Amino acid sequence: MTTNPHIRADRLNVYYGREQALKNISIGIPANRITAIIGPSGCGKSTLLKSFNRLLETNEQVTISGSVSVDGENIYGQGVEVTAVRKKMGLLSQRPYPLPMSIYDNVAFGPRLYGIKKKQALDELVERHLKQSSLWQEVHHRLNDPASSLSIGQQQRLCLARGLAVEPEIILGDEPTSALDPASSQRIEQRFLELKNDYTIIIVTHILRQARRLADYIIFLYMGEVIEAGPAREIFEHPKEKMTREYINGTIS
Amino acid sequence: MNRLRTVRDTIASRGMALITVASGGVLFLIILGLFLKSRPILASGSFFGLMASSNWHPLKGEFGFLPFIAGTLWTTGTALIIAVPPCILTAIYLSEYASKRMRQAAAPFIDLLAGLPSVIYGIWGVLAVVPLIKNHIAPACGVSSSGYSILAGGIVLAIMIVPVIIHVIHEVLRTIPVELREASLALGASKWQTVRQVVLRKALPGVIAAVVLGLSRAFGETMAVLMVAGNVARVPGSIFDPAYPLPALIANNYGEMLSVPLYDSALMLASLVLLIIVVIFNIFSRLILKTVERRVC
Repeated sequence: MTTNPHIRADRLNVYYGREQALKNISIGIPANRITAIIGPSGCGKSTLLKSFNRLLETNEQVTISGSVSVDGENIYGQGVEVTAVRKKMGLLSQRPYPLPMSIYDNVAFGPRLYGIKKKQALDELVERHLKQSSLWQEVHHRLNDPASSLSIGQQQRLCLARGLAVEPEIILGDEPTSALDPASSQRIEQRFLELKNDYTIIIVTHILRQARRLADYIIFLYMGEVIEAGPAREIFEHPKEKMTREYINGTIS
Repeated sequence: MNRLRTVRDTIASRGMALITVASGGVLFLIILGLFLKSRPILASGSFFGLMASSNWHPLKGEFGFLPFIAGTLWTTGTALIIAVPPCILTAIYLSEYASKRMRQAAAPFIDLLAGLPSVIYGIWGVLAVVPLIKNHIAPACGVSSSGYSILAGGIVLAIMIVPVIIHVIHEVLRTIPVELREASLALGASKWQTVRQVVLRKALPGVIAAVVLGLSRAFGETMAVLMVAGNVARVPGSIFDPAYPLPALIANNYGEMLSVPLYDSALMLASLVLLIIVVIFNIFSRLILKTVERRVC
């Protein structure tokens, strides 16, 4: 485990109704690295990811115990403002969900929430973040078109730009390339590799090759428990646990 | 064997096509029938002359439809203004804020309201709404009113269309994916910001459709309005004046006054006009819907 993690979960338990989805999770996520959460479907990968920006609690049947600290502060503590926690993180979901408004307004949505109103400042932000997600070239002449008029791959990059525009510290990706074609996936991966200098990136993926390509750090989950966590090279080359070895070799899925 | 199946298939598809066309044809036949029956009165004056005249003196042979058209538009408009805002808020509450238990408790009540016979609403209007307006609301506004008024008709109509509108908006809100809400929340938007700027925007075409459904019901609703609106054939000047909507005119007089020359023809024309108003509003709302869908979704 790294010495000074950006996010740390401590004895985190999550229940959906009576069913326990995460069991006693204690892990640290290193800053300015790409961490991949891997494991078979239904093992709690997305749940773990959503516990980091408190999206779990929108479901009224969820109960959570334990703590998650970001920058040393427990985000589940009393008096913590949930919107401030979420502002620190940009989220990319499995499929892009563009907001029902124009391309421009999608990117400007976050900044506007935080009180940026001047057109010039917004224009500048929108351009910068669309460039950062390598979408600017394709859309700069039609920023006022509805976001839904973009292709799925473009929409996912728009969602990335939208997330970056709130100037987060952390990027969360929940299988962010699973709905995309290979070329679009590659573009997103390329973005991640460039963005990790400035951001802590956490992705959930069930594609082992993607984890190999991107991740510096791996968390392997199985049935809601962390089986093994550590630097990617160690996990892929010298897994300590038998189960990790079997998963990586494809004997369990 | 195979041949028999093909034959059956053809019969089934032709049969269903025929039934579909027939149900569309009924509407056409109704329009045609109303038009033929209203030809005598149309021969007595120009269509627009009849629509624009406010003189309704059947015994003198004067048939001006303006009071009834105005009465219909006034009561329906009042009902919509009263009904739509609370409907949107209730639907938002049920779909976004209420606990599951609350939602399950409220839904049957709303559906029950939608199923009540309109005469019950009418009686309630006569017993409760009309005195309320006469004794409290009108004096508070500095006017005197018998209580039998557009406002009474509007309130009763509003209560009647509320369950329908809430139900449809609620269904529309439920079709909006959780992930869209999460996308907005993840950007740091509060719940209310998410509802207002994302969920409602996405639902706008559906909300419009729900309002149109309510509108169509309000236009045609006869019994409850007839009981409380006052039924005076004069163009109303305020919501405290009585009104005489088209359906009330038709229901009150058809079969009673037919000894008066041209009267039955006038009622047929009133039906035709009501039908045309509903059709025009439907076309109009479809156009709005198309523009909104293009702009938003």
